[in-house]
Amino acid sequence: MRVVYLTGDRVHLRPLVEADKECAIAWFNSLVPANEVRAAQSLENQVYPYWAATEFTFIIARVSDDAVIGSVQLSIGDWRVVNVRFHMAPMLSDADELRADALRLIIPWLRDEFEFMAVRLALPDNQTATIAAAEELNMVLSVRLREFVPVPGGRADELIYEALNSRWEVPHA
Amino acid sequence: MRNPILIGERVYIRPLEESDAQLLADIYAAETDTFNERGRLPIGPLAWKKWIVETHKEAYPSEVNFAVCLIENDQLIGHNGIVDINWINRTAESVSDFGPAELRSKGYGTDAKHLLLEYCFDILHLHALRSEIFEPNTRSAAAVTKQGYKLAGRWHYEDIKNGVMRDTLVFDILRPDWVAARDAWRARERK
Repeated sequence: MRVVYLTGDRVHLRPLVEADKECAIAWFNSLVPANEVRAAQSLENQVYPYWAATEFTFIIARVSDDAVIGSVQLSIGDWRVVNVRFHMAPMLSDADELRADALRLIIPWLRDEFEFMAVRLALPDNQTATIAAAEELNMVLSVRLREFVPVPGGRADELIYEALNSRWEVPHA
Repeated sequence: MRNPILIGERVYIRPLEESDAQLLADIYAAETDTFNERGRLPIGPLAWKKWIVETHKEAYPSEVNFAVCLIENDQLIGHNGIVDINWINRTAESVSDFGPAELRSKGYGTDAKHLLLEYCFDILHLHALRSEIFEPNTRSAAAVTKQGYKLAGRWHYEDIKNGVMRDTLVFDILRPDWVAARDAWRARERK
């Protein structure tokens, strides 16, 4: 399955399918390993009732071979602001670059097509390729939480970048 | 004192009990401030009771809350706690709510916050906390700054107040920030 408006040169984003339970380590956003049973439960929770959903997970797949290499979670409260979280497969050596590519697909879709007022992305400050992509997409660094995320060998600051929609011409104090 | 966990200068914190539900509902019903959030929302005793029961069921819950009581007479004056606990990352968001209005700005909230931070850093051994405060609530922003929190940034476009979009200010605190603020506060209190 290819979503034409969420397909780039190296990665594409698509909805979950049943077979994804077999490779949950690549996309299931948890440090505690998810087996097929847990992944299947998650799939069931994702698909119904889709009209009332506030949490969405999309698979990040490689364009060249459709391999599942990660996921992006969208948390949408009131359809004004959306929180974005990535999970990349642990076996990847170029996870940061692939995540950056996925961000380049996600931000124009959410900010410019869905017209969210703010699209928020939280990430540790060592994900330099993703940070560069965020800045290239005119996202602004809104919050820096000191030592908020454990990383190998220590802790990193958690950065929150926001894509603010300039088309919202609302009074802002 | 009833079942205290930590005792401060003038207040102590203890677990919330089902019998606190009506008192919390009464405090919320008497709220005079309108700037804390978009608007005031009355919460009834049934909702408080359910919340108290549900948040005490798990060994590793996503939130831990305390009743804040005066040492002198055991009066419940509010609650504080941590929510969104990430037991792997060792982080959480701190929250507090105090009333009635005549008991505010007397230092009880800061006394209670230092007990909460002691619980977080020295008992749970959390590494970092954040606090989120709606921008119009300047009193709480000043309070957390005095308690050792540092401004980390802002969530844009969080909510509406008086017809304009307002942000939420985000603060963070690490253990050394708290120890320095607590020691300075104690020195002032004991003068």
